[in-house]
Amino acid sequence: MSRILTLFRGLTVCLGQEHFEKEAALLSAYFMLAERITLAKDHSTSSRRVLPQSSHRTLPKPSDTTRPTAAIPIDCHVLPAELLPHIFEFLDSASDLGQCLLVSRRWYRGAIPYLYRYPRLGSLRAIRLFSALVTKTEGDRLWDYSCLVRRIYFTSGSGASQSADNARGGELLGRTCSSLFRMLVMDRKRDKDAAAHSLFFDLTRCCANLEAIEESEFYTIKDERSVAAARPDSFVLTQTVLQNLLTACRHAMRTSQRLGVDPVILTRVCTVLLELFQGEGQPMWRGIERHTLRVARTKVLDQCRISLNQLSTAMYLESQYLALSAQRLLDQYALMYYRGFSGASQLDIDFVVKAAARDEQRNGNDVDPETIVSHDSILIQVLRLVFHQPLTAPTTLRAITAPVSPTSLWASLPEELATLFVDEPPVPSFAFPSREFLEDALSVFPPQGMNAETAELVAELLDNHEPTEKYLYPDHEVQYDKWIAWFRDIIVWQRGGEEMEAVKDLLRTSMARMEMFRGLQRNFGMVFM
Amino acid sequence: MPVILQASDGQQFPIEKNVAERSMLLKNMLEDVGDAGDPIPLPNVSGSILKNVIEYCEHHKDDPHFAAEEDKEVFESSRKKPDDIDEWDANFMKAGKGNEELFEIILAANYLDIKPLLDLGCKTVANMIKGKTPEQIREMFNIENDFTPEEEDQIRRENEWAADA
Repeated sequence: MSRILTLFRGLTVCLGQEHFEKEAALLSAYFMLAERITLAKDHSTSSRRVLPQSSHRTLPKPSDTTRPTAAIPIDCHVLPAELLPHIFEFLDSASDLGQCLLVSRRWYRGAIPYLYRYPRLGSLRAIRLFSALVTKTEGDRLWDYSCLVRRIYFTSGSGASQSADNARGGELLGRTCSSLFRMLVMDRKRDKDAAAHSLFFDLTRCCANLEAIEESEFYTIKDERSVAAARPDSFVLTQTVLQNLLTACRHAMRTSQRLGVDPVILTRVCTVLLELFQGEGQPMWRGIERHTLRVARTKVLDQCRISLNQLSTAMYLESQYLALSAQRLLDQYALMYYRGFSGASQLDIDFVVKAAARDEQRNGNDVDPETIVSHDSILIQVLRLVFHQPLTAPTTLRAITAPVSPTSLWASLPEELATLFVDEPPVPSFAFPSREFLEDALSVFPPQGMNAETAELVAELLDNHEPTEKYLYPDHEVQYDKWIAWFRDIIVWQRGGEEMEAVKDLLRTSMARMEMFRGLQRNFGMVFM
Repeated sequence: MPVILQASDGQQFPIEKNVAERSMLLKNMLEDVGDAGDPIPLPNVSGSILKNVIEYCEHHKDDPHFAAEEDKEVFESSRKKPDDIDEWDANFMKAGKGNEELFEIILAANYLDIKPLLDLGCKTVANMIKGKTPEQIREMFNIENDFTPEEEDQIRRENEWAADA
């Protein structure tokens, strides 16, 4: 540590010369030293994210795009090669293009530009794989893919990819938000001090020709016009914010490349430098000529101000993006609430009461309940769960009370005891659900017995049970489906509530970040935002 | 006055002028040279294929002409949807045509510069590719797998994100 401080002194003396010619290199040295201090504070020098470029790396030129890293010879076959581009033009799913790559060398070369021109990333896994690929150093890949990327579509995903995210509880997020937002929610604990998610920095650093990141589904230009007209304003706004965020990250990325410091850590590096140069009376600067120190200090602080300005812009834009997406999510959440609420009023209560009676009868007929799972009994089981009624009540009650008839029970009791119980007749086992109970219970939303655990139990019940029984009347099917749909609605609502927690957490982190930048301004008397 | 097309094998096809004008190549040729009444030789197209192409042009002779060259930028950034093929076109493509014939029609459309037919052919092929594994595609189009196992493995790994998108 003391060696680093000595180095700082040396650098300051050099930088303090009014017209020192290698000023940029010196400034970069400052920031890199400060980075080492920052990392030393973490005791995690090993965890440094490696920036593959040296500080003066020139970005790959677009003209490189057509050149594969490995020379692949040409083959001949029946499908004329000149047709391939026309055909790939019509393949609009990334997975189909992904399959085409593996057909032959010629197909590989033909399909790569189409696949990478507009990558569509619909799941967290896809985003992680993709960013790992584009950040790889050039020699480790078969092709310089990242140069081809023009526009990245973070779609809300569909089918298989989405269900993978849903397994981690992303139902509401999955339906409402793009994979980008989901990614930020899941990663909220990462890189707390970074101005923006490292994904943005990685993409701007590696994909030199990246023009835009989009949240929409992939549209052809012709569709785009009609879709844009139908699309709510918030999407347009989000798109603008994302565009600005990309630009801001690119600026910050350039600066940090010049300084040779990872943008994720640059905020803290600046903080270290600001601390070092706070006031001229710091003991470590003793013995350096005042004028020299002042000149050096101005130069370093200027650089800090520029960097912090760029970083805070990115931070602000990311926060704005998060806020917009969260708002949309909240709207969706509210909509789900009203849907569940109004759904409850359209349910046929009598249907369930009758179903309960039917179920009761069936159980009474000494049929092993394990062997026949009827529509009725699932319905009743779920109802019991949702309204917090003991699951096995009717059968156990029967088991206890059946052998002893009520009259004989009363008779066997001493007279004075029996009078005590007279006001309380034994509860008939088919009391649940009574019409009155359901009417009351359904007027409350969400149902009072509903919690995360119940939701999971209900979901499991609905997913796993395949009723073996046929519907008695066609009408039953309709009613049954209505109830099941309602149950599913409230499960989704319940899960959505938990997802909202994660989003709130994310917003808090982003507020804290904003606060941190404000604190920097306050503490060091510097205005950069 | 009909225009006479002569295929590579010498077969001649007299067709109406507005049918011939479906092909941008022929349209420009007729405008530049004028209609001398001589057969126009098409050395790249065989008689059987030309017959098919003419059938297509006959059916579409009254379609509005698309702007020959759309704005390049718009064209570049658009990707077309493969599923909007009308019924006649779909049947035209299906009717007993093997892969080889299909490819030749596409090539002829390309050569004669009949954009809608070129698109139709490529859409048809794209639809054949959809949802297929690389092995199935190779089999369908009789393509040899010329990757080394290492290459194939690396390509699979590098582009894994696409399968998940």
